[in-house]
Amino acid sequence: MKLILNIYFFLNCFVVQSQVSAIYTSFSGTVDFTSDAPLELIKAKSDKLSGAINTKDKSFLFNIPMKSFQGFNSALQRTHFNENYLESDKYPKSVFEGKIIEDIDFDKPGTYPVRAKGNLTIHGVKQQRIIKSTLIITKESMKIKSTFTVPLTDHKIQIPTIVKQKISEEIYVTINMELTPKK
Amino acid sequence: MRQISCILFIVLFICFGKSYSQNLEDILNNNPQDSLEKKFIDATFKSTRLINSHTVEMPAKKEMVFCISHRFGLLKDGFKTFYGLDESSNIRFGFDYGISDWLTIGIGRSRFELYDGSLQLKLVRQQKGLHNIPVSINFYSAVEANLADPLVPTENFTIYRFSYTNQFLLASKITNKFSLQLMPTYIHRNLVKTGNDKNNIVSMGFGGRYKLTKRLAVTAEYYYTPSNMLTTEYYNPLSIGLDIETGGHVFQIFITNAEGMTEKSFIPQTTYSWKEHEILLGFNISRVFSFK
Repeated sequence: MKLILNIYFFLNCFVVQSQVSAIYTSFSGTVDFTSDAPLELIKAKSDKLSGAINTKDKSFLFNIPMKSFQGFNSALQRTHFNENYLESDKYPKSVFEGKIIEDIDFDKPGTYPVRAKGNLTIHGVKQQRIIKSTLIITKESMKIKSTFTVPLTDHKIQIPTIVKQKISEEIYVTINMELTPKK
Repeated sequence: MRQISCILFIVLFICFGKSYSQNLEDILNNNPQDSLEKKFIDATFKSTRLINSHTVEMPAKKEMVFCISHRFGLLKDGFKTFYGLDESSNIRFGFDYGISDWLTIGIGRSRFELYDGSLQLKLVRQQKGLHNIPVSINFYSAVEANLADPLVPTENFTIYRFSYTNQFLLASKITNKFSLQLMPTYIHRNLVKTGNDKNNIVSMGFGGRYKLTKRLAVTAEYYYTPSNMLTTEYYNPLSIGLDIETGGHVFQIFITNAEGMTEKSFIPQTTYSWKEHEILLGFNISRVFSFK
């Protein structure tokens, strides 16, 4: 009886400790996207990507407010991006949530190629994706780099015929983020 | 006793286990930075013009808005003039340039040698987050010079060519589809037509837009000038229209009783009346150019 209680309290100590280091977060990751169309090149960037990774079950959640993108070729283009294409008032955030496929030893520093499998929701439309990323683990933090493509039709983002030559059907996206353990 | 302590052990472990697996969503949504951010409201209107009036939308820094406006003849002239399209009662072209994100200067010319220059200042932006401000407030000021020769040759006539308009634009994007704007206006004309006409006019403008689709909106605009400031020859201007946005252009088509295109013309000098069915078709086309 006493032994069981002792073991129990002893185990709890471990539980509390791993609670501190299991979740890594960041609220300032960057997302760059490019639309490379025959008649126009559009680039925009945001540094408001938020992300959290749970190292115990390899689950992750990233989200970004669409109105945080800056750049574009004019302020009007940015207004149209939010009002007409992404409808940011209706769908303020884009989200990617899921699990990392590979088993990673998060306590071992190194560079690991991983596949993040989950649901990517943009413009309110969910698509299952497996996104290849690079995880760089150091003693203090975890960095994520990833480059992938988003086909606009996947997320019901419509391009009117009149601007078909100015907006690419596929957008190149690059993510950069450094996550630190949540306290 | 042993069994009870075993059950207790398991129950307590489950409880601890549950609180351990924290919800990632809750973690991300509780970012303390969120409430410290200013979230400005964008795109209260689709363009810098409502119908005759300016809106709180201004070109961004180093952007220019070019606007061409036309007013036609009376619809009630019927099929012969194709409902007024034959007659071009007024034309204006104007350029508004963003010196900074909060200051715009403009120049324009309307029919019969009317030249106008203006500036607009963004004073307050509608926003949420750090501060909750439900309105955007801009200040618009214009000078107009009438370069036409006076009917009777007059010495030292220059000063009488000028009129001044000062306006506050108070706008609110009430929902994603619906925006309203109030335009309290003060107009001073150095020269008026008769002794009964007032040189100083105060008027209140009301305007709004309702989005029907992503690119199509219904607009309306009305100015109320107290009847003691206008002689019975003049009527308050009422306009109703449609905004069609296509990429870099906004087409605005409307019906109105006002032929004038600057505040000093359409507010106190509208001689047509809706009651008499004296309405005409008009359009504005604006295009944004970027000089970045």
